[in-house]
Order: sequence, then C-alpha cells, then structure tokens
Amino acid sequence: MKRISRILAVVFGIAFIGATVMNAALVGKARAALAGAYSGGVPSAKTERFQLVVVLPDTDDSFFGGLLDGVSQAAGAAGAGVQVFRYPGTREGEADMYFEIALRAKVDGLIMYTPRDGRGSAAFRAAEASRNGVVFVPVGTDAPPGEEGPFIGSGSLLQGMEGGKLIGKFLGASARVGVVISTPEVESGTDDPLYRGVRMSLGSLPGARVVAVAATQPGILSGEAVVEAMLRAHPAINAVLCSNARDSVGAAQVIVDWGEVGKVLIVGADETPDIQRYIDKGVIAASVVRDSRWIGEEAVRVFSRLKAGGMSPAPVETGFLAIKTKAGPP
Amino acid sequence: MILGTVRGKIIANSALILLILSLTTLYSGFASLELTKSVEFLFRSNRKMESLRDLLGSTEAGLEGYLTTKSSDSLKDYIRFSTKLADESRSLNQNISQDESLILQRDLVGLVDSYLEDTEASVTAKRGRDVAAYTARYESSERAAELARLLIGKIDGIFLSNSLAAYSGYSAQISAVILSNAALVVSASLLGLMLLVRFSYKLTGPISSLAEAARAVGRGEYDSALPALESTDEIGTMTAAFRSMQESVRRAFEELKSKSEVERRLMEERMRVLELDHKLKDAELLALQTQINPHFLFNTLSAGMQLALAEDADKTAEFLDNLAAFIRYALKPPARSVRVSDEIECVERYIWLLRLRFGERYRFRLSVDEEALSVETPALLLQPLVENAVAHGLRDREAGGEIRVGVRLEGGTALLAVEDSGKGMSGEEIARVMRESSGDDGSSLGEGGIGLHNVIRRVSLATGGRGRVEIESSPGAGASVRIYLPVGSGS
Repeated sequence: MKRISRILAVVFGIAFIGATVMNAALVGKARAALAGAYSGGVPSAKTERFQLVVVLPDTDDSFFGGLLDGVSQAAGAAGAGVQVFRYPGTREGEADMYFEIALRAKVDGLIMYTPRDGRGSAAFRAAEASRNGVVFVPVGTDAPPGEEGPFIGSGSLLQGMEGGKLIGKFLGASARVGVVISTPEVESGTDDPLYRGVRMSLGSLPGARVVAVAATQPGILSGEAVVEAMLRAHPAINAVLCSNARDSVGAAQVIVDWGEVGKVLIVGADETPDIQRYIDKGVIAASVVRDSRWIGEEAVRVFSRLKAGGMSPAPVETGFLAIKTKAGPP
Repeated sequence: MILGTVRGKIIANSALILLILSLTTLYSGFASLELTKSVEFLFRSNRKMESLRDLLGSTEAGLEGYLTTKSSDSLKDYIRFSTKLADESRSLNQNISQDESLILQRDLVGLVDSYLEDTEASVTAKRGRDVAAYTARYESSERAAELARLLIGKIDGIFLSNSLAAYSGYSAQISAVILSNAALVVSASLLGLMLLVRFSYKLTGPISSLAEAARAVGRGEYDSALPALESTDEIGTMTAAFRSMQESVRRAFEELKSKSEVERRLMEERMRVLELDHKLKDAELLALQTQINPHFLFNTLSAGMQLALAEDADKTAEFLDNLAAFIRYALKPPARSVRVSDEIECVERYIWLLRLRFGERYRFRLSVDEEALSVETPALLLQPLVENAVAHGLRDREAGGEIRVGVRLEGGTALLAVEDSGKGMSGEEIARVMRESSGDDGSSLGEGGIGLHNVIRRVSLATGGRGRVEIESSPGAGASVRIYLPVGSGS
C-alpha cells in the first residue's frame, strides 16, 4: 500500500502538472482566438508600398478567377497590396460606387473590369481617376470601341477565329455551326465579334457555314436553355461554338442528354475542371482558353509603369493561352 | 526548528495540500474570469465601428444644423464631433496590407478625410455665403458619408464574421478548458489525497514499528530490531529512547542471567558439599550402629579377663584381651585415619578370634609389604572385608575355606586386598554393590552388603574420590576385593 501510494502520488503529480499546463495552453489559445478577432485580422500582416484596388463582377465565369490570380501573382513583385471589390454582374452601379470609394480613399491604383459596351465608361473613369491621382487600368475581353488609353484584354474576334479554325479542322466543309454568345446587349448577334471571328475562319472552307447565333442571359442555366433551343430550331447544326465555360458545360449537357455525343461537335471556352472532364469524355472536342491570368499580370505591370510616371499605353491584346483538345476529332 | 517536530510536519503537510488545492481553485477561478472578460474583445471592434457611425451621424447633424440655421451651437457640435471623428478614424489601420479588414480600415480613413474635407469646405462656403458651393460640398459630403457607412458596415460584417469564427474556436476551446479544469481539480484532489496517505504512512510507520517492538519486549524478546530512523522529531527521540531502554533491559537481563548462573552453580556446589556431608554422616551413623556402649563393654571384658586370670583360665583371659582390643579399635570413630600396620593388627586380632570360634575350619593368610605399613588409611577397611568373606563367602563351607589378606605398594598407590575361596559373587551382584555404593544411601543393600558398602563409601570420602575399590569375583570361584589408596590419602 505504501509503495502504491508513492506510485499514485507520482502519477497524480504528473497528471496535475500536465492538466495545469494543458489548461494554461488552452486558456491562452482561447484568448488568442478572441484577441485575433479584436485586432480585426492579422496585425502583423505584411505592409505594402501601393494600394491596388481591383473591381470585378462577382460571377461564376472562370475568366475573372484567372484574372484575379494574375493580379495577385504580379502584385507582390510590384509591391502592391491588392484589395478586391466584387459586385453582382447585373448591378454595375455598384461598380461605380467602388470606383468612387477608391478615388475618395485615394488609393494608388485601380484595375477595373470594363465591358465592351462600357458606353465610354473607361475614358470617363480614367479621367476621374487621373484627376484624383489614381492610376486607372481597365481590363476585360474586348476593348470598348472607339476609346483610347490603356486596356488589357483578349478579343472575342480572335477567340471566334480560333474556334472557327478548330471546327473547320474537325468537320471541314460540312460544318454547320451554331454560335452561342454571351453579350445579350449586342443588338444583333451578327455584330458580335465572336460570331464575326467564326465566320472569318469558315470563309476559307466553301460549304461550311454558321447556321445560327444566340445570346445567353446571366444565370447558370442560361447556356443549356439557349443551346437546346438552338438545336431544336436548327437540326442541321453539327457544331456548337461557345464563348465561355458556363455555356460550354450547358451545351455539353444538352448533347449528352440528347444522346448526340459524337454527332454534334462542341468547341468550348476557358479552362475549368468541368470543361476538362467533358474533354476527357470526348463530349467537348476542344476549348479555346482566354489567358485571363496574363491579363491580370499585364494589368499590374501597366499600373507599375504608369505609377512610375510612364506613358499611357495603347490597348493590349493578350491572346489565348492554350487550346485544350482531345487527340482527334470525335 | 518547528519542521523538526511531528506537529510541524503535520502543519507543513496540511499546508502543502491546502496550498495545492487553493492554488488550483484560484487558478481555475482566475482562468475562468479571464476567459469571461476576454469575450468582451469580441465586440470591441464592432463597438469602435458603432462609435464611428455615431460620430459620423452627430457630425452630419451638427453640419446640417449649422447649414440650415447657422447657429453657433450647431457649429460647436459640428466642430466637436468632427474632431472626435477625425481622431477616432486616425486610430484605424492606415497601412497597406493584404488583410481585407485592415485595408478596408485604410479606405475608411480616406473616406472620412474626404468627408471632412467636404464638410469643412461646406462650412467655409456657408460663411462666405456661397450657396452653390456649400450646397455642392454638402451633397458631396453626404455621398462620402454614405460610402463611409457602407465601409463601416463592411468592416462591421468582417469583424462580426471574425468574432463568430473566433467565438466558434473559443467555444471549442472552452469545452476543452472546462474538461482540463475538471481534470486539474480531480488530479489536484487525488494528489492531495495521495500526499496525505503518504504522510500518514511516514508518520505512523515508525510508531507502528515502535509499538511492535514494545509488544516484543512485553513478550520478552529484547532483541527485536527497530527500524533505522534519521528524523529528529519526537518519534525519532522516542525510538532512540526506546532503543536505549531496550539495550539497557537486554544488558540487565544478561547480567541477571549470568548472576543467576553463578548462583546456580554455587547452589549446586553447596548441594554437593551437603551431599558429601550427608553421606559422611550416613557412614558415621552406620559405623555407630555397630557400636555398643564401649565403657560398659570394656569394663565387662576387663572384669571377665580378671576373672579368667583369677581362675587360671589363661586361654579365656587371652580371648577376652584380644576381644577387648579389637572392640576398642573398632569402636573408635570410623572417620579417623590410621596406619596400615594398625589395620593389620586389628585384622590379626579378629582372625585370632575367628580361629577361636571356627578352629581349623578356615585358613587365614596374611601377606604384608613392610613398606606399606606406614601408609595412612581410613580405619576399619580390612576387618569388615574379612568379616564379609567369612560370613558370606565361606559361610556354607564346612572346611577348606581360605582367606588371604594382602597389603603392598604399587607405585604411588597402596593396595589392600582381601580374597576368599568362597562361593563368590555374580557380575550382577558386583554391579549392584558398586552402583548402590555410589548412590545416596544404602537402604537397598542386601545381605552382607552393608560392610562392603560402608568400606567403599568411606574410601571414596576419605580420598576425595581418588581412591577406589575393585571387586573381582565369579560364582563359585571366590572373591577378591582390592582397595587402592593414594599414598598420603589418610584422613
């Protein structure tokens, strides 16, 4: 009993010390968690030289994700801390609000998505920003027509041409193409640069032609609905060209649902896991990938040049990063 | 030193246990209190945002009051709140960071600055009565205030989100903290208990050993070992005292035992002396039993001898003379020492008397070494042996019996021997005589054993055990009794 009591005393002594240390550690941890909340983030976060605001639509388009990645990647080298404001794609008024906040807060730079139909917004914003001492760099897909100044983008015309080439390569003169565009604001589908690019490519293939063009609306199911309607209206279509990842996936689902895999060629856009999966399954024949990451990186480089007092560059066409395709035609 | 005492140890141990439990309780309570107070941190940031929002509203109210009424009170309010607003906003983060809430705070600082620029410009324009200007700057300030509220809301949301996340982490930690608190209290209690048990063993162990040792002493075991005790407290003192007492008792006991042994030996010696004395008295008594009133006997015999002379009975007179001389010799104290020559003379007179009685029925032969005549010997050794030889050995023989008496020196020893040609003794008879002669008394002696027994005992007593008597005989072959006396052994 005496020996047991000695052993138990040692055991409980160790347990007591262990419990005390553990309790102190847990209390400290709990307090640290609360203290972190009080500081409102990471007090020791690295500080940067420039404040760079990025204003982008908050959509499921992978284009913007890539763009933001590019900005974040290049910002470190530029000594810029990136602040992102995202607004619903349908509420561009919020974009103006963030633009105003950036100007009043006197940030160093502002990278802002500017749609093709910006209706002169890019020029106006550039002037406002300049008056407040803020470097303004508009980014997007197609530069607003008729405006000068910096614009970093990847033109839909070029995308359409690349898509048309792929369709021509797979189907030749028998190509009957349906073009799905994502710019409902364009008054006529035939004015869309994507459509024009496809036509330019198919022009060298006698017999091949664009049968239909349709525009999708915002929303994740819009592409699927538009493609289904287009195929019903034009049974002769044997190839579909889409302008973004969302519509490409929608078109692929329609083809799978209809059992038309291998009969209707799909050339999609962008690079997402879903796109890659459909390419691997042979549903999507190829994807024209807009290099949005490069756009982001280039936008930061332009910001740095302008901040350093450089001249305002002309619009920059970043082109396409890659074309994902299966080994051969479906 | 108080810690050197049992009381001090009890107090120290109890204090230690109480200290452990008290510290555990205090620590547990303090930690819980700190955690409770820490929850306040969760909302400190939100309170700061709320304060900014209030100051913004108050500044706007003051500005509106001044712009609409141009009252000095409103202006004072505006100045007071706008100053506070500026100060409060300056306490926000102004560094450029990747952290969203921090960089939003920087934006908010810029917006507040922008707002205050507009309000200042508006007030200035109001003072200058420039209606268009103060209206435009006021509207601009309102827009800035609206944007500032938007950012405050965003920052508030982030803080709240952070607080919720922190609270989730905090809640998870709190469960663990409560469990560890319970473990702490339980382990502290068990530790205290074990310390108490340990201490009680340490305290009562020596007392138990001491009690056991006391019980052992009570049973008479003075050598029971006591545990070695280094402590100098009362128990240590008691143990040392008990050990000393135990040693003293053991020593006293051993001394008593030794003394008792000596006394026992002394008593045995006394008993032996008493026994010798008793045996001597027995022998004397035995000798006395053979005596008659010597004076009466001597007078009677003298009268008989006178009568015989008067009647010319010379033979009778010689008889009475020899008888009187023999009796005179025999009736003297038997413990006396005489010369061997005296013994021979006594035996010759006795033989003369026997011849008178038995005529030529027995032959008597004496062989005497002259050198042995002067040797001292206890009296009356030979005569009883001759008497025994006649009375027992030759009793049944009508004629031809022979008795030989011999005395000689053999080295430092005088040998006195009486031999007869009588019926002899068996080995058992010889052994019985020798055994009974060395016993306490001769009550069991058989016929004719008294004389021989008497002789053997007196030889032993007179020579202090150095002399001895040997009997050699067998049935029908006569008997030989030899007495060996160390020279100079006479009493």
